[in-house]
Amino acid sequence: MPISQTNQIERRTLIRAPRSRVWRAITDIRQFCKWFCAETVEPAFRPGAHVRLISTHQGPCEKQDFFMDIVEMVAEHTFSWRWHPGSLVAGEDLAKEPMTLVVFRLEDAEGGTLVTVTESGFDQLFPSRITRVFGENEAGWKIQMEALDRYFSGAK
Amino acid sequence: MARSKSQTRASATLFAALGDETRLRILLRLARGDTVSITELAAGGEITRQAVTKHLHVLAGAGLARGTRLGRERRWSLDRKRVEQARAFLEAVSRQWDGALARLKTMVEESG
Repeated sequence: MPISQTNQIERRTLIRAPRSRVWRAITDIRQFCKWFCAETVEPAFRPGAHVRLISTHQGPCEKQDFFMDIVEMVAEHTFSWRWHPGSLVAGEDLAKEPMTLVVFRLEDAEGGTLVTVTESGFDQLFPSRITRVFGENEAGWKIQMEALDRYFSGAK
Repeated sequence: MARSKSQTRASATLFAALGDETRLRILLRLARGDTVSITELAAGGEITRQAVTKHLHVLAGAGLARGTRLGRERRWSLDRKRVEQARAFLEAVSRQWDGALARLKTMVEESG
């Protein structure tokens, strides 16, 4: 089983609007803030930018800072960034922790635009693939451990 | 779109505890569902009692294993709650994305 199957979350939605419109909603920083529930003084997203935002989402994270390190912007196609998942408090330890990669992909689809968002890199935080097989059979465990072992060896 | 700092921190500890093959083998043994003693865990002869003890304490520190005194010896078992927390973390992340995408869709479709 490849690492990616549990290392990554994928979500999709079909939006009844042209790709250009959806692209603006995701990459225009003012529009992004509206649906993402955030505020920022930054004028725009651009590849390489380290963008500071403040969450306006109701709950424990409201009014907390978070950062997006913009990776890629391919017009009307791909928008990606790295961040510390859930890390709204910029602690000193946090800087050393691995980040996850968020990728938005846009595709033409019947009736509008298909938006796919993936967030990957959770295995860097904890090997979720291992936790999923707890309590299952020993053969499954053996395979998982071997895969994990290869993963750790390769990652060093 | 935020998860709490303590959630992230706890997951990192879990990761560190699992990042060792010997500890994974001990967990595998505990995952069978019964409680075991240090003597039983060391019975294969591959690892010493001292090493088993050390690894069990790392696992206990991450909340993955639990030791209970039973008569003269301590019996160890798996703490499934901690494992469930890790799974719940990923599910929470998924739900947050579902919410964000729903707001994006509403905003775009209503603005025309």
